[in-house]
Amino acid sequence: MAVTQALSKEEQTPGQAVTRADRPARRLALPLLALLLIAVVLLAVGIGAVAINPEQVVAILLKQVGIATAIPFETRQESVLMVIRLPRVVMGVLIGATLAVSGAAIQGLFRNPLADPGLIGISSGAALAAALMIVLGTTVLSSVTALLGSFALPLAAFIGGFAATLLIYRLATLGGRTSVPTMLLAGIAINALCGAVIGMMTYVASDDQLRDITFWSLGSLGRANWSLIAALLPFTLLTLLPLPLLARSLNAMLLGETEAGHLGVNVERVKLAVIVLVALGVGADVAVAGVIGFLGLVVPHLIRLVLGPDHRLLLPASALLGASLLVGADLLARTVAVPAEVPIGIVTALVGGPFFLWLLLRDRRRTGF
Amino acid sequence: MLEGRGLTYRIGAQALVEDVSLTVTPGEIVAIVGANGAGKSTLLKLLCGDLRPERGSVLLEGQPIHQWSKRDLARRRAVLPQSSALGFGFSALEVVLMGRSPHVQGIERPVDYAIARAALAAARVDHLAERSYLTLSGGEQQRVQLARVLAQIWEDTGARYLLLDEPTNNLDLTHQHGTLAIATDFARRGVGVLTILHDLNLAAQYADHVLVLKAGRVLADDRPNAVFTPALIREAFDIAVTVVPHPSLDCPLIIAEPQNSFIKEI
Repeated sequence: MAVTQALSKEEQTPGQAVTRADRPARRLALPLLALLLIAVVLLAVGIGAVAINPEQVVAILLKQVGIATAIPFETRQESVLMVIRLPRVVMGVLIGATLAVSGAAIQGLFRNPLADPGLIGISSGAALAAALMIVLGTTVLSSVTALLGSFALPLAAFIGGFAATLLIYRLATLGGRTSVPTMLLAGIAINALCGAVIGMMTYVASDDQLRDITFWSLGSLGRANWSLIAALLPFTLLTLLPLPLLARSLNAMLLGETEAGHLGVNVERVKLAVIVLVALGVGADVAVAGVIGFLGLVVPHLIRLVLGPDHRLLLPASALLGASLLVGADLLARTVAVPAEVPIGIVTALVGGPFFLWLLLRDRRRTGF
Repeated sequence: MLEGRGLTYRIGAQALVEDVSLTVTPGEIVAIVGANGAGKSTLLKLLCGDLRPERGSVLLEGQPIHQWSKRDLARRRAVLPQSSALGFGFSALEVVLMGRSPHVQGIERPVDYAIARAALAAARVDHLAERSYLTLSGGEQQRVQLARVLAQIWEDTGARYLLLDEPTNNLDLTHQHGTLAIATDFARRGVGVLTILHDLNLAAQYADHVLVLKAGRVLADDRPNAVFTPALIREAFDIAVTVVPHPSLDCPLIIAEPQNSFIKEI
């Protein structure tokens, strides 16, 4: 009797039972993460040698669009905000969001929560091209430098990253099918090759060039300005906007490629789309800010811990958290050792490395392996 | 109708499947049996369209399977894999909802939730709906996957097909029969079911048709009563059996004779 009652009760409310999708954490996640991002941005643009409080930040921003407010601020504050801090923070938001979303998508594609965009050669290909430009830009490649000026380095890095990724993709594709394990192995080989050539470049580099290579391979948002952002923005949007549309397909692919195919997903097309979009976005990130590690690995992990693995929530939530964390890390990088600036890659690796180890140990304890 | 015509598939010189033809009609259960390495899984992959035959063709409703759009195919036909290596902590309900993805654009509708819950109940895992897939036992995971493929073809949208690769793997006695009872139920509602089975008695009890494979070729294709004779089973599996009529059902009951061990003194 009790059983039939329970059954009929459930029949009255089909689909109304509480699912994880309805839990407050999931519904509130995106608004809360957006608030966090706004708070971090306001904090980051306000802190530095010239302090600007959040009210003044809002007043200065409103002035740019022609709205006058009663809140007083100095012109010095306005120029520091508009010329130095804001471009830097905006660049941090774009790069942080792109790296985190790319990490989440690549982890889905590889069905491995420990994958990261660097696995498919983007970072090492870009780093190789950058090292070549830095060391050979004044000699063998001087015509390229003459032609492109200050854009030679970012452009070379972008092309290098994209080319390495495409090479790895081609190596792993046979008869129209891409083997994900082969991609992983080809990625390791290409990464090692790039590393060898970079090593060669550092060996022959002069002291100045060596400092450039080091600085670049550790990442920095210090070169931020509005024209660089204008160059970065289209690539970033090309990654951030279409990837969430693939969320459902990425979910299905976690079941296995064959299973996803049986659910109607065009697996090969999804793979190609994810790789190209990630290579464009991360390639552009690396080109303007150098190599920034661990963000793409750690942010999707954090989100999964709290919100579960559904890519429909994971991708936008990763974008917001990635943006917040990179802006926060950059704030730390430029304030922790004033007047010097720590490369941001050191900050993300110092925080991300131990966190990653903690994740590994926790997983191992949980699964018993 | 799902139809394989003269299917041949080779790797190098070795034929894994050789000149196999079979049909699955909506409303019937067809079982594929055979020894290890007889080509059962390869045949299923050919019929799914996952492998392309070297010779022969696979037709669904008269149209070559590769000409179907992936989505249309997914709305008509679901495939249960032998095992699934899902390594992410979706809840069981979320896994089953993935089965609805060929029918959904954007967010799942209430009807998709209702179907997913009904499929979980059919596979007797509704009590696990909110549990993380990673914390389930092998048998429970298999039943959640079963619920996923049931949800995929739950609604009557014309002829539908259910392909099962050893669906009773990892399952206890109750759930082995429970799974095949679901298959019978689906067949009664007009679904064509094709299943690979290892247990000949399950095949005898539930299948309308049994296809026996040996070394990639069809050894027999008929009703269970006609297929399961001691002579044919000896030929297919190299084992001596006694076949008696089932005491209560209209099907044969197969009992293996004691076997010699192959352990040699060294």
